[in-house]
Amino acid sequence: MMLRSTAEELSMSETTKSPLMQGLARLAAATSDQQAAEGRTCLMQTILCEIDETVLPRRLTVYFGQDAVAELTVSHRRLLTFDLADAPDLAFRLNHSDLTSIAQISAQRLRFLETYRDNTGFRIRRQACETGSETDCCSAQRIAEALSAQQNESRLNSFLNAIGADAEAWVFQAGETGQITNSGALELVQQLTTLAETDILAKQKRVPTPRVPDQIPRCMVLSMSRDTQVIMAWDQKERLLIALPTQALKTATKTWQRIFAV
Amino acid sequence: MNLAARLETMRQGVPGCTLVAFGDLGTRLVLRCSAEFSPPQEFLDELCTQAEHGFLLQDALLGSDSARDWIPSEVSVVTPHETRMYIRAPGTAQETANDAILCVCDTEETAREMIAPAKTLLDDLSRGA
Repeated sequence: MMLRSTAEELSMSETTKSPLMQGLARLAAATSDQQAAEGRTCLMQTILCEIDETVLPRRLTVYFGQDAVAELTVSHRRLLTFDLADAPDLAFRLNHSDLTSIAQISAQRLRFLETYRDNTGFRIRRQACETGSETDCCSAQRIAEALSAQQNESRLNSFLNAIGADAEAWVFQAGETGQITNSGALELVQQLTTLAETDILAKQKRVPTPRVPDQIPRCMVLSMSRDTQVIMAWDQKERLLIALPTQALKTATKTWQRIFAV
Repeated sequence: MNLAARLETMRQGVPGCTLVAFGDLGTRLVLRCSAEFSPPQEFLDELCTQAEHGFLLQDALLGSDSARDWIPSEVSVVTPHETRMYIRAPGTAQETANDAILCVCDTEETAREMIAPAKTLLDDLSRGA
């Protein structure tokens, strides 16, 4: 059975809203307001509602246009699996991620889908399925809480979380505190750190051009080798350097553009 | 065909390319430009400064590894609404070593299409053609 996930089909009446639904509505309010103005339905809110309303085992396939972009397995109001299709480079892997819980990972994938969606519509196909021996699962409430926490992060942090699983190494310099965090092989981290220092020194030497403020977000692509590229991104006072495989570059720059074009 | 005409031909030959400029990275000056719309001087200055900074970082990233057989000839910069591609001709004579072609395109794919013609142009310039 194909269900078109439109605002009409999935809208909830005020009288039937559970506390969770009210929480989800508040969570998605900012996004929803903007999207409602554009005549769009909030994808994240829709999926969370689907999870919360599904008792019997179901496989939910999310489509953007004709493309299946994600597949979720849900049962007993719990999310069991959440796989991103057609974006294998962006599949989040537990062992390479700082996201420690299935709720955090699921929230990140939802946010990626919302970003990846761009201006296309979506629909959700529900199919009966059998569940395996999944041991990790989480409720829509937990995902909503993780989403809420992640929505307060900076755009560069969002970018890092979106593609960080593909990174061979990264160095992030926070804006306000200047605190530097990193991940990856020591040699690569050191190379990226040296590159960041070179960037800072070169900018300090440069004659300031007041009419061209350096506050505009930028994403520069450099080559470390034929197989490894380096993305250097700036936003306000934040700086992020990521070394990643060449084949992951295109998806990464498109992800950056989607995050920063908003 | 003079340089201005070559830049014009390059830009018009790739749909989605809105600007092609020839710049000197040493002085950070755009010397010739072909664009859909007349760009403000500050924008041209920014392109050249950004290209110079990009190649500085690129060279710093690779370090002084004299054994490497490959020197990247391009650096790209993605902004929220465009992709800029900066192309140079590493290994050319000293007097043309700072020459660069600066392109502004709608997408990364379009920007990559500019690399080959830009290299050809830089090669011609280095040979005095």
